[in-house]
Parts: sequence; C-alpha cells; structure tokens
Amino acid sequence: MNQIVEAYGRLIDSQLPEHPQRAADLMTAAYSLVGMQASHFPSKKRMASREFLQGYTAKLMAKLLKDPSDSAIVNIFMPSEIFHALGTPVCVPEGLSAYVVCTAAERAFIDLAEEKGASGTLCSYHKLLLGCAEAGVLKRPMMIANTTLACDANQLTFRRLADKWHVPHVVIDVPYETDEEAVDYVAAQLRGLARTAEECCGRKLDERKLKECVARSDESMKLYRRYLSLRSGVHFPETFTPELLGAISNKLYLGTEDALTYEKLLLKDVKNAPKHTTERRIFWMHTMPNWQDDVMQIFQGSENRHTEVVGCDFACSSLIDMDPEHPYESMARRLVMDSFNGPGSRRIDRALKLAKELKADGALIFCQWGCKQTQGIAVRAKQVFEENGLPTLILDGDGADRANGGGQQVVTRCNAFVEQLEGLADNSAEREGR
Amino acid sequence: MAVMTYVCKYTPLELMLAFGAGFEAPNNDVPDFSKSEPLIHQNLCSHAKMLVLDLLRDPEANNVRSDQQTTEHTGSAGSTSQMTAHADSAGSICQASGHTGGTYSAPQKESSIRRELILTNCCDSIRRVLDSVPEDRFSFRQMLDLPHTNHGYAIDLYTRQLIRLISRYSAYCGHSYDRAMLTESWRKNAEAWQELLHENEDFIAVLGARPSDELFQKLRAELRLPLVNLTCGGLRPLPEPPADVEKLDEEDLIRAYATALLSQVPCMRMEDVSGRTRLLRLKGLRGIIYHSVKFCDYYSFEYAEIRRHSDLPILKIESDYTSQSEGQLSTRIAAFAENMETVMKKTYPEQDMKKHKGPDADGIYVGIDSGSTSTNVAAIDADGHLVASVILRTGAKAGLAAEKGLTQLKEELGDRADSIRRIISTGYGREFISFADDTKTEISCHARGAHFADPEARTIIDIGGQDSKVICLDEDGNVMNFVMNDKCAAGTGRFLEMMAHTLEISMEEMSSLGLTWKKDLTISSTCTVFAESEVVSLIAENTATSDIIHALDKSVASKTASMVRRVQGKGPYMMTGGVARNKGVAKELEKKLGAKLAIMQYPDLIGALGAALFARG
Repeated sequence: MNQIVEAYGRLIDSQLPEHPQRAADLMTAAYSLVGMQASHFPSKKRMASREFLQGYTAKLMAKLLKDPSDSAIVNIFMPSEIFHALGTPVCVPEGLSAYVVCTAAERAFIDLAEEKGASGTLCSYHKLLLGCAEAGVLKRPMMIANTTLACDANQLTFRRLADKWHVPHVVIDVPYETDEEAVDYVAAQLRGLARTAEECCGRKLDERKLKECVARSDESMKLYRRYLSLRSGVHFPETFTPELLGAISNKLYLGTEDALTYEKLLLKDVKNAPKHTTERRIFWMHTMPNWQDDVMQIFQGSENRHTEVVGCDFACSSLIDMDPEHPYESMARRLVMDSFNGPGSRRIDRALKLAKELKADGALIFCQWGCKQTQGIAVRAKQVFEENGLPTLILDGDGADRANGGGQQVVTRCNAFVEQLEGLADNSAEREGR
Repeated sequence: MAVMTYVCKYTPLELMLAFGAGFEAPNNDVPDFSKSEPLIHQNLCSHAKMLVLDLLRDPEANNVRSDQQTTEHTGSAGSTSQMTAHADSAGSICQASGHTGGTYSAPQKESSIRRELILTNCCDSIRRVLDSVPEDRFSFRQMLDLPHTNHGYAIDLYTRQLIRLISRYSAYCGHSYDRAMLTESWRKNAEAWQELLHENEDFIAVLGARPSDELFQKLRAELRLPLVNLTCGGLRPLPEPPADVEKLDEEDLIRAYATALLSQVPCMRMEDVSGRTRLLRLKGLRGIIYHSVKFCDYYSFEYAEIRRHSDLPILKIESDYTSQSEGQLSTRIAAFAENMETVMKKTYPEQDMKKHKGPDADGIYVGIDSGSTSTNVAAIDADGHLVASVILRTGAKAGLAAEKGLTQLKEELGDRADSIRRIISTGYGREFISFADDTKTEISCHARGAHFADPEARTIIDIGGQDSKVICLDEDGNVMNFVMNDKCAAGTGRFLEMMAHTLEISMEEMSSLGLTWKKDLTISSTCTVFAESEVVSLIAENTATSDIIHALDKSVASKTASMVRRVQGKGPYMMTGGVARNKGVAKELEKKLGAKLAIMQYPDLIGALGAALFARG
C-alpha cells in the first residue's frame, strides 16, 4: 500500500472519536474521487468491466456515507431486487469494509466496535461496519434487513445496528434444507420484507418492476455462466478485483441495469482476453485480502509470475435460472440453493466442479478471521480437492483488518504454495518426457 | 445400550426420552485440541472442538452412566436435587451439561453402547462439527433444521422436522414413542421453571455461553451463594403443555411441543432475543457470572448491554474448554467473590461475618504482591505509613522469592521486625506463600492501595508483567467493576520486555527512547508474536529505534484505553504496576484517554500496599 494512502488512512483515523463527520467527509471525498476516476477517466490498463463496476460501487459508497437516510443496510446474500424495484440504495458490510480497509483506516473503527461489545473473534468485515456506525461515520439508514445465510455474524451485527438506530429490522430465515417447503418458507418472508420496505420508503412496490428486476437477474446470471465457460481458456491481467466484483454483482446488485451492464462488459473482456498461457491457475474460496498488495502480486498473473486466480466460489455460489413470473419464489430458491447454505459437502462439491471447469491447477481456501463457515469446511475441502488432484493451501488471513493479516508469513505461505505447484508441474513434465 | 449425544437446548429431549433414548451432552475440559485439528480448523468455537474430540472417542471407553445412575440439577436456585432419569419417572429435563455432565438414560437391554447423534444447526461451528466427524461412528444421526424465529411459518418448519425425526427414529429403533411420557416430562420441565421463577433464595446466575462442567464446579466451589446455570447448556424451561394435550391428535401434539421448544428463553442465535430480559428479573438474582467461549461470538453484545444497564455485580470470564490459564481465572473468580461479599455486606450488614479486630498500635502489617515478573513487599504501621518496602525479581518460584523478600524487609525493619502482626499475600503467586496469614486478589489489593494513596482516583489502570487490568472504584474505594486482559500477552509488561529484547535495549531505555520519535508509525498486529515479526521487519528497514518504540507505546496504550472504555472507566485515573514507570506508554495513554494519569512514586508497590492495608484490617 502506498504511503499517500497510509497517510490518508492515518488522517481519517486521527479524526476519531471526536470528529466523525470530518472522518466521513474524508472518506466520502476519497470514494467520490475513485468513482469519478473510474467512470470518467478509466485506466486503459484495466478491464472495462472492472472500471465500470468499481466506479459505480465507489460512488454508491460515497453516497451512503453522505446520506443513507433513504437506504437499506443489508447483508451480501440478501436478494435485493425488492429494494432495486423500489429505488432504494443498499449497502453491505463487505462492500463498505473492503473500501475502508483499502484506505488503511480500519484500526480505529475496529477498536471502537470491540469497545462497544463486539467479540474480538467476530468477522472483521462486520466489525468494521459496526465501527463505522458506532463512530457516527455511517449514519442511520431507512431500514435493515439480513438473511441468516451465510453466517452467524449476520444475526449479531444487524440486530446490534437495528437496536442502535431504532430502525425496522427484517430477518430472512433461510432453512438448512433445500426442498420446496424451504423455498415457500423463504418466499413468504420475502413478501413480508417487501411490505416493510414499502412502509419505510413510503412507496408502493410495483410488481411489474420487480419482475423486470428478476428478469435482469436471470439474464445477468446467464451471462456470468457464459463468462465462466470462457474463462478457462484465457488469461486475465488482473486478479482479486474481478472476483470480488463478481461477488457483489451476482448477489447485491443482481437485478440492476448496472449489474447487467457489468456482466456484458465482463463477457466482452473475456472474449477479448489473450489465450491462457499462465502456468499455475488457482481456484480461490471465500473472500480476498485485496488490501494486501504483496499477496495480490503473487496471484497477479503477470508475465513473470505465471500464476493467476481464475475463479472464486464466493462469486458463484448461486447462479441458478430465475423465473420473472414468480419473483419471490425465484429469489427464495436462489437463497436456499446457495452453495453456502446447508452441509459443507455441498459447497465443497460445487467448488470442486467449478475449479475443474476453470481448469485450475490448485485451490486456495482463505479462512477469513472470524468466519466459522469457511474455517469449518477448510480441512475437509483440502482433503477432497487433493483427492481430486488439486493441491490446496489453507490460508488464514483477514480481508478487513491488517492486525490479523499475518503480514509476511502469509506472503511466505503463498509463495511456498506457488513453488509447490511449480515443483509438481516440473515432475509431471519430466514424467511425460517433456 | 444406545446413548444419544446432543448439545442444543432446542433438541426435543422429552420426545427422545419418550422413545427410550438415553442421552448425554459432552461438556468436559480437554487437555488440548491437537487431536481435533486434523479434522477441524483451530479457530472454531472451543466448545465445538471439544465436541469433535468427544465424538471421536470410543464410546466403550467412556464413563457413560447407566440407567441406575443419577444426575444433579439445580432446578431451583440454591437447592440441588438429585434426579434419576428412569423411563418410569420421567422428570423435568434440564441439560446434562453445565451441571455435572451426567447422562440421562432410559432402561436398555443391549449391553454394548451404540452412539447416536442429534444436532441442531444452531450455529456455524456446530454445523461444521457434523460435516467433520465421520458418519460411520454413529448408528443414528440427524441434523435438525432449527428456525431462527418462532412465528407461524417457523413453527410449521420445526414441526415438520420433528415429524421426520419421529419417522426416522421409529424406523431405526423399531418402535414409536410413549406419548404419556412425552407429556409428563414436558410438564415436569415446565414446573422446574416455575419453581425458579418463584424462588426467593439468593443466587448467582451463570449467563452467556455454556461453561464446562469443570469450570462450573470451580465457580460453585469458590462462591458463597448458590449458582444457577442459565446458559444455553443449563436450564431449558418449556412453557406448560396445553390443557387439552391428551386430546390432541399426533400432529397437533408435535406442533404444540415444537411451539413450546421454540418458546424457551431464546438463545442469542434467535431473531428476537428480548425474552432474555426475563433472566435478569429473577427474584433471587444477586450477581452474574457472564461466560463466553473462545471463538463463540454470540454473547459479547449481551454482556456489554447488561454491563451498561444492570447494577448487579458481574464477572466476565472467557474459557476455551482447556484447563489453561487457571491462575488468571482463579484471580477473577476470587475478586468477584470478594466484590460479592462487599455487596452482601451492604445488603445484609448483620451478616458481615468477617469482623476484624482493630490494628495493634505498635504493630507492623505486611503485604506481599507476588507477580510474574517481580515480587513486591510493603510494610505499614498502624497508621498506614509505609515503613519499609522491597522489590525483587520473582524468578522461577514464587514462594522462594516471597521468603527472600520478607527476609530483606525484616532487615530493613530492624528491631521493628518483631512487631509484624499479620501478612497478606496477593498476586498470581499468592497461594504459594505458605507463611502468609491470608490471601486477597490483586484486584481488591490494587483498589485498596490506590484508594489509600489517592482517594480521588476512580479508575485504576494496572499493567504488570503478565496481565493488565482496569478497576473502577466508588467514592469509598469499593470495586464497582473490573476487567482483565485475556490470556494474550499483548499490552502487558511481558510484551514490552519481549520487544526490548528484540530491539536489544534495556527496559530503562525503552521507557524514554520512544519520547523522541520522529516518524509516526503504527504496529498493526495485536498478537505479540506477529508484532515482534513487524518489529523485526522495521529493524530490517533501518527504521529508527525511537520510532519503533513509539509505535509499540501506542499499541499498548491503545489496547489499554480500549479496556478502560469497555468498563466505562472515568477519571481521575491512576496508573499502577511496573509499566507505569514507562514514560512513553504513560504519555500515549494520557493522549488516548484525554486526561492526566496519577502515578505514585512507587507504582509497582500499590498492590502490596493494598495487601498490607488488608492485613491491618
């Protein structure tokens, strides 16, 4: 991370706890600038899809920090077509946290969240969101809604925020099982969510608009599946960001025009990308430490590194077809069928299938600090992947707090893993007489 | 025989008992988790890791209780009853865990033990336990899909889950459940809750996450008042069965039972937790032990809320299902017991059992604070004047250092050494000082010593070699609240010692070098090991030592200020302990608190002074 960003982070940090508005203004200015740059002066070195969605997201973050009174704070798995159809902006902890940590300003917020009661072992993405709220940098939204999928942290963070702000709070309980009864159970709750959202924003939900959103969701996911089918044959010059943006576009933004535009640009990018020459292709599980430049460089896929991340299960956890004529059931099914729901074997099997489709040479399971869901399957997933010929690294780290980031140890582990893959490839080439 | 393992209070225990199942809730401390790590990540909840270890053990090797054995339960505050869980005497069922780890067993004809498992998807960690343990270890296993709410749809969902369980378990065991036994044990359970609601006897509640059986027993042994386990591993009170329960058809009966299960005092994973305030309104409740389990995140917010809004004495403890860190835990429990004594004395002055004789006018009173780094000894006269003191390294044996310290003190006292009337020991090594007349925790001693030195002080920040603590006092010097660091050494004197060693400087240099910093750096790792790694990187980059020390001072100050805010500490502040001599840390801490710190001439003697004051009586 460059020194200017670090200095900026310290400047934000120094405003807390006395001057939350100044801290919010500094953050708003930074995100507005990033948004403006990506939208109006996109870098030619970067993919058009990335610049588009990054610009959109940065501007959305800036808007939320400025005035979230007409917005909903939701978790990333929440089917947000209802909010999109109502014209209500949405904010997720992972999104805001990823931005704050990239400004190197997370420490004061995380400390504040812990002082106010958050457990030290709670997911740092959630602690950052809580810290922003406790500091007064993130202000009272219109309402809060969360699914119980995919982790327990949702139950804690969103309830705490709702109590703090005294705003309506809707929980969508997602059953563990995947039958039609479970779909009906969730669909009924989503209808309830729509009624609460209508009351909060004072607008009537136009069911036709909702159907249009769900139709766009369906089209977006079809495009993403098409992208995945082409991704195995090409080399991408960038890593981490496309996967992280995929997680947002395939969940939170699903149903918006912007998500659809992103998927179209992404498909164009993949069609224009050079044929794959990368020697080591990694399939990634869960979130990514995108603040950690030295880790990103390892998986950047540049000419001399020959290693790149080709996919991430977080971005592809539920890419099902959706039926616009049954919007609530479609959104409910997307939740219930998500690979992050239910037994760990479901997520592992789907990740393995994806890794094979993407012609990955190895897998990396990123155990985000506080994420019991991923930590809990890591050992089993490594075993299954390796039985299927995919060397696997379990990497403990933190995408939202450098205090748990592991520093150089993480870099060493990643480099050692790359060397392990190189060694395996050399042995294989020798055996084949190449 | 078959033994069904379960953990969650929403498990339909009454139903399974009506099937004739015997069940147990594993809840014991383990030596370590080395055997669970090949199966499950080390950062999962410690209770879940303990469960994995338990599920891997050979059931024949287990000391599973037979149907003739009994288990204890504290169905009502203060009164412990024995209950035999025969099929013909289906009693109220609280969970086996949190009491004695007992097993409820219905009569069985088989001689070998079959292992059955019934879990709910109550939390991320427990879900992953089922994913991690090989299926073939169980003759029957089921995951119940537990809703997060108790509204109509959720009750439908849980009813269907129970009906499926009945169907599967009937097919497995070859018979159906005894309906009369289900309603009888359900009714008895509801009665146990009513008893507690109307109980007048004083008691202390354990709230939060379940403690291990060993921890619960330890707490029970150390506290004067009876202890009631109200965690998710303790009482699981159900509402009364409907009046017409006998007339209900089977589906309606199971629906009513599902409703009752979901109507318990909610655990923190449920959507609506407002019902938990019922626990705080129990009539005889006099104090709270709030327990959390390492890597279980559910209970920290509730603790913070109770802390903010309740006037009851509260002790927060965290454990990890191992017997590590016994010393620190004992100190906390003993300090809480001392605090409870103060509260009880205020509430019931006539019950003040520890009346002290007044001090002897010529007497000398000695306090020995046996810390991990130094042993501090203070002697006072009857008027409280410090007449002699000694500070020496503790070394490997606390008892030996204390003896040495006392010998040196006597030398300093000269003729007056014969006037020593009473010695009180405090600190980690207090129990190893055999010649002391009594012991007191360092929490109470620091509070007493600090209040004596400066009656205006309201928050005492003590950073010693092994731990750091923040103690809030009232105007009379009574401990109102306190917090200690966890097992981690970050933010303690040991942390600074390790860093001084890495930087190859003395502690004296460490104290003042940081004041001359030029570049404002930050050490981001809170873990001592990782922080040391950051320091090594900074050294490699030729960073100025003063800048590194300043970053370390900020790190300690930040962690300490966070503890102060957690207990809502207010000024005036006093800093005690060896780290109070570190000028850099004190300056950064003042900045973080926005207030001056009072630091006495001998800040590391405050604990010993407090102990001497207790010796004086």
